[in-house]
Amino acid sequence: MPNLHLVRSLKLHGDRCWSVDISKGLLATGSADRKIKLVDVRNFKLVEELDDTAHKKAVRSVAWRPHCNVLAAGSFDTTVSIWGRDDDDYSGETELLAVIEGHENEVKSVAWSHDGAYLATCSRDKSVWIWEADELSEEFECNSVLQEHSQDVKHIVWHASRLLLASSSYDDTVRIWAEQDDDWECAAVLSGHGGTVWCSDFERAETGIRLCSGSDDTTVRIWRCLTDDADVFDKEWIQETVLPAVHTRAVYSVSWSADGLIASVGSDGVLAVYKEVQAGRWEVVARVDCAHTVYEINVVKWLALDGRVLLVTGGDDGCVNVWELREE
Amino acid sequence: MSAKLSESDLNDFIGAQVACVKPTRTLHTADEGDEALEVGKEPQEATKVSISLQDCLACAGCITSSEEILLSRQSHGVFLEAWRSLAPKALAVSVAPQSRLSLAQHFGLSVAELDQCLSGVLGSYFGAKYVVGTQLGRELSVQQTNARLVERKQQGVQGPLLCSVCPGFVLYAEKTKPGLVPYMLDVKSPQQITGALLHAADPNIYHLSLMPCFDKKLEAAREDCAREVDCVLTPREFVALLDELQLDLHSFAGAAVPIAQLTPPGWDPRVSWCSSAGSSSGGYAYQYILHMQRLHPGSTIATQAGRNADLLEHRLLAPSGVLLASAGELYGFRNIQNLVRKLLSPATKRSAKVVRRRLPQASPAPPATDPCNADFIEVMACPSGCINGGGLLNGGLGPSQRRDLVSQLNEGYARLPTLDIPMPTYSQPSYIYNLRPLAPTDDVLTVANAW
Repeated sequence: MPNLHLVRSLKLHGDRCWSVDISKGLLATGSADRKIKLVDVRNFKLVEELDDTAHKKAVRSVAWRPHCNVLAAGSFDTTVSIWGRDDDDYSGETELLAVIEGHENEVKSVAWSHDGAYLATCSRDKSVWIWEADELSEEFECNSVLQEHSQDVKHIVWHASRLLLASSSYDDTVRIWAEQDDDWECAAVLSGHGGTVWCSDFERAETGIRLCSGSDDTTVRIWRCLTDDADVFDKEWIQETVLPAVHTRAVYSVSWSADGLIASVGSDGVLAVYKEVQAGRWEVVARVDCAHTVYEINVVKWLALDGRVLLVTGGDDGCVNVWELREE
Repeated sequence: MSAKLSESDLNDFIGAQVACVKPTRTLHTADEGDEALEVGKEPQEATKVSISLQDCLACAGCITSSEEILLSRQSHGVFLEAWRSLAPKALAVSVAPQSRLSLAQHFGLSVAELDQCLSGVLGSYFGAKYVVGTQLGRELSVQQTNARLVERKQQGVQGPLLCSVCPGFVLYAEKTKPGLVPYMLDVKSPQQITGALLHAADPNIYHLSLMPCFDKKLEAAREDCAREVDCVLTPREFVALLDELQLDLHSFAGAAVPIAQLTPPGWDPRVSWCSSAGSSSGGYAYQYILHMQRLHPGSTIATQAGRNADLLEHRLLAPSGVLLASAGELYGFRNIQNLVRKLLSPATKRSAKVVRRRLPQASPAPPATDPCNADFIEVMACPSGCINGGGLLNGGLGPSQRRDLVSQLNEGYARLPTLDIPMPTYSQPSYIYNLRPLAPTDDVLTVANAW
């Protein structure tokens, strides 16, 4: 059985850490203390702290634009800030490139499509917005405003290789969105959770589409898309399975690794790792209780680094913890 | 706002407020002479405070939850009740072209057949004194719009003016984006001008307007629109009304009352029932360009598609290629958002400095079509504009079926007769709204939790 070892605990924030994202060796964190910090994952040294006058309230979500040094940050102050740096060697300063307004209240999550063309944002105003970004990340055109969720939209995530977006909501559903003509439309509604869906993540697989989701109902569920026909817009999804029960309180974040492992964290302070031992059958292969001492854990992300399998978690203690999954 | 009022599956409505607290307030009538407080005993029946449309409009918080109030104030039931005790007033009905197209499509009739059946049921069953199309009102709206735009152009004023004919957009601007209000042209919509003309022709009328959109009820209820429209019904509600009365619209084909008999004295029925060139939302953008073309002989019109189906720009070019005038059509919430962002620059609100970087090789690309830069923008809240209005008979359709219906109705709209005689120029009083930002309110109940 593998084991989770705490590699590093970084006390980065004076208030809860809401969000982490890693790209090109740089870890970005967003916090209720309104700060955004950048950490070099090779040595876990703080590289930069972004101008914290950009946001008037908590930074709820951070996301790197693929293939470039551009970061999007969504805040409870209703805005999304876009940050960029010219170089790869961390010598230059990261500058504010744009501020995107539009949401009526708190922005809960921001995410870039795999090709970097689109930025999705979601909010307590129950809407999901899709923005088309120019190459410089300075101009953003609103491509779509999706208002089918009946409650607060908590989280959004793009598929790693397709233009598919999943949004999780306080209305207990996940919605799948895809492009149709020149607009975006809902291609499926995943119902089954018995409470707020806090998060979801797509499987990183070239064949087939699966999604895992974590909820207030303490479960992590796996959903599978049955419609393989690209010409059929409305897709049929089924709930494939419920992962073995681990959490005793809300699951706030899930992450599906490139190797097929799923990690989950939540309000109970538990970090769990699940493996699909045979098709559709999952086992808990590692767990850590009190992974942020007595604090709730808001986010988990996989990080592959020099052949090591790492997990990064952010908690209400303002800490970012780095874990290594080691085979015993 | 807005199309949410339509109970439809339209996914482009504006506004995400949850619930208006006003309707939930209750008045407890104090029990007179009973001073003893009994524990465990419920107070006597609470009296629900009724809320008027005016209350809803004055509250800048939410409009979505006023759906029930709207339906109760201007529902087909309320109309029936009013109609039954109408005397000594006479019924006057105005019908928007989009409503005629939708009803014709619904009943499997041509527009001409529908007009016959409509004049039949309204004239003979409902005893309407007047039944008119809204083109005369539209013509005045267009003419007054053009006059204002020309005047502005002569004064050399830059920047776009926004059309205020869509009540969904007007309310959104007034309540949510007050910075837009100075950009709004205050010329009234055909619905209101038609109402004013009808009342001028005969003050003793009750005016029912058949409109493609539920927000038209809000427009009719504006303080600056008093004595113009008494009730707005959508085709959906009109069909419900016919169903309730067990009336078969087809059966009125033979009972058609000649349109001339249903036209107010001094009106030309050819004018009120025709249509005009341009978009199926009223053609305000195109009509401005046509007007400018008449002022610039030899100029040509170039129409360019925008980045999506709900953006279009008409440009008037002098023979030399110089841009003489431009007008945009801009529909749907997403495009309104981009317009808002362009007109009300967000960077100015921020304390942090937004860095503007330059491309290494400065290659100035030709300006892409952007209706936001035009002299005048025909803004409509619904994607596809009024032909996709939330009150039309398009409920229960999926997005792709709805698109098909829109293109079908658009084809029908393009076939509507236009008058081949030049429109008379009307010297009427100006019909204008008193547009103003509405104070924000905290009166909105939200139920989502803070995360």
